[in-house]
Amino acid sequence: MSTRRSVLSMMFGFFVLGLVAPAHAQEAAGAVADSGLVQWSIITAGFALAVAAFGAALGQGRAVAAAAEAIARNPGAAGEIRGALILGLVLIESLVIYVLLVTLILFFIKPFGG
Amino acid sequence: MTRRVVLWTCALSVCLAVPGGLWPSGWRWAGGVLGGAALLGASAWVIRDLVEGLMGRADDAGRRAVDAGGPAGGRPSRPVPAVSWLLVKCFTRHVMLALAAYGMMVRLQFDPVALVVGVTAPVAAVAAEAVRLGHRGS
Repeated sequence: MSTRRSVLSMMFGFFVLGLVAPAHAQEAAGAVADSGLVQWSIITAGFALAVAAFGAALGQGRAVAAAAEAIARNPGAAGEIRGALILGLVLIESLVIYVLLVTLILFFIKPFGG
Repeated sequence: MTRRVVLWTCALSVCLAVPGGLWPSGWRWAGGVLGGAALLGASAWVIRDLVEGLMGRADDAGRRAVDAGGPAGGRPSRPVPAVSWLLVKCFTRHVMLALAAYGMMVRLQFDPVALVVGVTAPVAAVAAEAVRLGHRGS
């Protein structure tokens, strides 16, 4: 329970830091018209990657745990379970790669200017 | 099944990439589609190596436990990689994957939408294979 509370408080702290940092940055770069949009897009990209990594880690952990349990119950089906596990992990990983690509687009291609 | 998914992925990526290469500067689209598929292929390679390495270790541990009661005396049957080495390889390959994505998008200036389409190709291949298996089962 305390671990969950500390993780939640850390996430809240990161969120507050993410909100505070662009406010300071906006004061310095107030002359640029749409700098706020660029900053928010970069913050969004960072958070999106963090959330994607968190969700994928959770999903992959559950998948591996289920596969290990299934192999322990039925060692004869280890080959098929292994194939399904690899396929599932790759599909979960593909979602993270989507988010990585979107993040790279927001960081480097800058579709909103900046 | 995995082999068939790979074949579907290759076919889908080529089918999506070739029309892009038909017009001028369409190589960015074609390269993006093939690069996106390659990114997910590299990711699959990393995951497969890690899973097979870890399961190989588990197999070997089980074999040694069985052999410990017999004449073999619990010696390892073949050299197995250390877990730390497997993890180092996995994380290094993930870093290379991220760098490859950066290089494709920023340095080579591949079409970002094409990269996303290329990443979708293996997912579509899995979906197609699942539909095929579903039709065969019913």
